[in-house]
Amino acid sequence: MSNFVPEAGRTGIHVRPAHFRKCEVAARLALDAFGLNNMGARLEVKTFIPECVGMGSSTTGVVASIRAVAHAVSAYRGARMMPAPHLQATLAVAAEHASDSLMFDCTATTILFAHRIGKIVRTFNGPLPQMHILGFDTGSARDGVDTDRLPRARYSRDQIAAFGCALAVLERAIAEQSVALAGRVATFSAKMSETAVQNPLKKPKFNELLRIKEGTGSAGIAVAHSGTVAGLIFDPALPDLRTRVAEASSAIAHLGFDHFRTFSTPY
Amino acid sequence: MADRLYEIVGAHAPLKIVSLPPENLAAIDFRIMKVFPAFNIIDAGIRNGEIGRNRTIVETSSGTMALGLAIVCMHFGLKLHIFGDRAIEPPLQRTMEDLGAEVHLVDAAASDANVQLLRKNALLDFLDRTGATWTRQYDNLGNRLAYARPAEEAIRQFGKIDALVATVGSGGSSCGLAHYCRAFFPEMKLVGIDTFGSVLFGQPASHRDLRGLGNSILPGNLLHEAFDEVHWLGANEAYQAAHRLHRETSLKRGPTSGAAYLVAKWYTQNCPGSKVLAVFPDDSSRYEHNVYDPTWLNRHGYRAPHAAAEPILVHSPLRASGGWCRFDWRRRSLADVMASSHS
Repeated sequence: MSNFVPEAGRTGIHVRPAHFRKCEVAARLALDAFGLNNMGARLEVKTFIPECVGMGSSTTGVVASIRAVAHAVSAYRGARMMPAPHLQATLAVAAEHASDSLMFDCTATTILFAHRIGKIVRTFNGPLPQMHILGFDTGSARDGVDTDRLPRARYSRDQIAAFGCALAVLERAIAEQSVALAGRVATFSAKMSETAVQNPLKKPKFNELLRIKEGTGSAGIAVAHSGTVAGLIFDPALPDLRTRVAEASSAIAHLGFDHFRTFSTPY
Repeated sequence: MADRLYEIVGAHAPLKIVSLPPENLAAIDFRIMKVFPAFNIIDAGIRNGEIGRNRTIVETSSGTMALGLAIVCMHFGLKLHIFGDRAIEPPLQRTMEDLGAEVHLVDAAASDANVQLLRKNALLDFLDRTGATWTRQYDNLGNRLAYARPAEEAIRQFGKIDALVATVGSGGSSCGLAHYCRAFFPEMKLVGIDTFGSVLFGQPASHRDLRGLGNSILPGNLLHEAFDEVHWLGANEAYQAAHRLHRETSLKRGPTSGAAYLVAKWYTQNCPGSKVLAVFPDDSSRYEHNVYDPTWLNRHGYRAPHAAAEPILVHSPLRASGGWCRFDWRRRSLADVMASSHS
């Protein structure tokens, strides 16, 4: 949540806490986009999202800052003006070079988002199936990942050729509302992150995690491609869901990873 | 250029998945399947600098790979020399020549056991003299990688695939499609179809009546460990299967497509509930005057009542002899299978 108070006659953005630099840049760019190049501001950022683990903390801050600017400008001009999501995406990518897609509401459709260009590449006709996610942090014992400094992963010709197939499986997962198929795509994606030919972001004990997935009837494993969080995907319709999740949870704790939270997505 | 070529590839091989009876059976109906490996090999060669402008391309083939290359080389403005045998009949030769290819036929009957070797020697001799680029469909990884797009389309239109039934020649389509499908469905069964006298799955090279599948040399693109089951079909079985495919589905395709239909249908009936995808690599244009001509069939002794209606389970590839045989390959290497198969 960003609380933004416009101050006429000043040029800079004063952000607090001071390390939210991306939010500061985003607020500046948003003001510029409204044509208020000479307008300064004081920006206060409050967040409960853990930073540097791949939970989208920076994009959350950036998008909240852009929206806070829009609210403040609306109040200043006496007319509601909120940039459309695709414009928020353009501003976010300009502010932080690569963004998550959370400026878009994905409860009715699923999007494929080019995170460095800030554009929707493809819209799938429907939401992701409802999934039960057991989330945890594979970086518990270490420092987080500075996603800005992360070298870009590079994939082989063979891997890139398979990406199209992954989208085809995802399309079927959405059409059939199949957690099993969505899980297959997530697991494939996690394996690609492990085996990229350049700069793979390997998760500690990945093979043990795959075994836990198999052993507990999880549909798939999802990992942050620029972070340390991961999650096991379960079909909420499983009759013994609670037992399986509890089993997986204790096995993961046994590996030394902090349990984060379980949640349901996309709603 | 690239976009236009994708359209041309799509026009020759539209990647249509056709649902067939019974339920849970479908075919990827390529028509000219080999435009995919031809395009991928040439396109990758140009991108990585191995194939320069005004380069001459050479390949040995008597079937659709030759045609696929002729189509692709014509669009890239590359000169193509094909070394084939008498399986290239005048209409196909004219088609390729119209597209600017030069066709060299070695003097051997198409069914001779060593025909691939003779074609290859003629090609090597030409390479020595000219320094052309050999696309090596049998060993070029670009052949297998070309099947990512077809696999994508198969999954998109058919969903999860439980079994893939494909004829095997270079190993490109069978192993390529299986590789990409198994990235998501590792338990998917791969059922390969070969013919008697082909060396692909452990038989000694000998005279082969059925062409379009099988091989007299072992291609590098064939990964034996990918196969769960192997079937061998005779020429009569494949020819009658092509007729059956036509009569039952109205799709008039070549005998390799017929072979895939026959085995896929058998597999579907034996594993009810499995979603089975058959690979149809070719259309019927080369077979109107032979396989689809009753007089020709009669003259050569190919009669429907003689065709095997069921496979015989054999316990060694060396035991497969005539009609329709199947063998439980179980994802083993060729050496492993042969070591445990002293009949």
